[in-house]
Amino acid sequence: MTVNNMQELRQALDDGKMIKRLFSKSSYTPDTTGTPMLLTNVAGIPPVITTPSTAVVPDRTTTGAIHFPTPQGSNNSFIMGMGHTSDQARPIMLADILSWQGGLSGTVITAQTTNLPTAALTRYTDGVGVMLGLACWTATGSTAVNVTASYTNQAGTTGRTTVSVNFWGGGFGAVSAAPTATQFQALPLQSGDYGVRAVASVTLSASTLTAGNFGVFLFKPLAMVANYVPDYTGETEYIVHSSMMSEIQDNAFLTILTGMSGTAATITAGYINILQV
Amino acid sequence: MAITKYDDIIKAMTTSGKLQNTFFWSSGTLETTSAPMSKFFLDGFPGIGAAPSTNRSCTKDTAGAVFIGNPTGENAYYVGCSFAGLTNSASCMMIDRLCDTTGLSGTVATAQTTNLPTPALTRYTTGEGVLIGLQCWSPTGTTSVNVTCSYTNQAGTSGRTSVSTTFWTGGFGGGTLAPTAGQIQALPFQGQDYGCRAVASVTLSASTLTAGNFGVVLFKPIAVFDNLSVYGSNFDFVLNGCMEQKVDDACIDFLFTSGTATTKPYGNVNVLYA
Repeated sequence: MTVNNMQELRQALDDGKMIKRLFSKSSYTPDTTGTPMLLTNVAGIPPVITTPSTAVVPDRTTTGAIHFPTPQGSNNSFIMGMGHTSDQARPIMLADILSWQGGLSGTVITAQTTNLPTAALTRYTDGVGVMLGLACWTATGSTAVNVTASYTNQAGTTGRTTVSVNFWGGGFGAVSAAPTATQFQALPLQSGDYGVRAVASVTLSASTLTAGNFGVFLFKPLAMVANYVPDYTGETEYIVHSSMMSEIQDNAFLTILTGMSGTAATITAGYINILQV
Repeated sequence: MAITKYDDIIKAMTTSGKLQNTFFWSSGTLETTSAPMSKFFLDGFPGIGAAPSTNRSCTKDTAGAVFIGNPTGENAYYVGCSFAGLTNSASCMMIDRLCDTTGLSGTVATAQTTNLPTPALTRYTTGEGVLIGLQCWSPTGTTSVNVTCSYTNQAGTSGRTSVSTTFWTGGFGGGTLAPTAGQIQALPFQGQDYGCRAVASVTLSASTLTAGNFGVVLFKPIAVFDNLSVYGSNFDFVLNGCMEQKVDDACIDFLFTSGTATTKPYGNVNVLYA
């Protein structure tokens, strides 16, 4: 249904249309300032994922997803608010992971296609706004090498190539080349592109000297929330703080991505308020 | 229809009346504190843009733009954004990039008209609130010279001259004379002017000793925001009184300033329509 005005919004809240979902992730340690982390890999609530191997589409029932109920009838789900606390100040991002896989190696220097291409998108199927990430499932080596991926863009054009950047450190990534098992990196797209439908291969410029295990994941960022002070709670109420309640698609695999502000071990806990109308 | 009351905002948020897209910069290392840089020419999401071959009008489909589609038969408004720096703090100006040119030289000390005048504006056609920028495509020299341009103001008066200011560092510019590709400088207007429709020529007072390549960019500022250190911020343009209508085909770009460290800004843009 549509909420036509503030009075109806208030009524929806009175009618219990808002549900709260909690998350709490135990200790994890970034390798360096600025390293973005993928909290699916961290134990807690929800539990840690099973490391992906074959290319699949995770959804809200997949182990590791922040669970939310399917909205009734023709209702939809919207992110109304989010908050989190941590013993280090940092922003977090709520994202829907659309497709993922594993089994790529840090020592193979030819185009890797193990468990690729990625599984076809079932949400945001046109790929607009969908980002291409590499997830570190088991640490690869710390030798500095470059990485590219071959992908299909939002227009359906195959054979597009990401900009060659430092593996783990380039793009939306960390500063150093020594990855940890919860780290991720988003790759910069080829000129003219603003979305990704699928990834066909990943290529390293040289061996990192340790195979490890990494994979590709496609994700759609949904919302961000800041946190300025360690041990305090950063909260965002999206109606008044950004005039945007992002819609959550019914089968979304919701997870938390973090930007980092330090190298000490930390925990993160918080909530998501979801309005279903 | 238009958004005329706050209830229309509520309704648009819970229907299909919203558009959102996310961006990140791969790098963003500045040449000096407070030198404004354009997202257009940095790797990231969306992919990097490129210099025009001569001049062009920019649209949502121009490579480098943060893509926000046009709603059909409805009015769209910029209503908010989120912004953070992965490794550093930054301040940011969201702009609609209207047109740009290339082919100007850092060694020519007479009025330059290569690929000028700028293309006729296709958005904000009166020129009100439209600023004049110089875009560094490849670095010119570091010898200190002054720059002016001849432009047509918001009233349609041609032959107006921007205030003579130090090339790259004067006006809304950086802190040193060594420009970086992607850097922008906005020029101060003559007298009481408050907008620009076109630029006819650009004049350097002397040679910088390196030709490089620069051009003119006309842009309309949409919003300004920042983040504290790496912690991120959300901005609501509605309740802060700076909601602005999004013109169809807007070419969304960002100018950002920060320290000299790598910043890697990221965030999203929120648009509602009704």
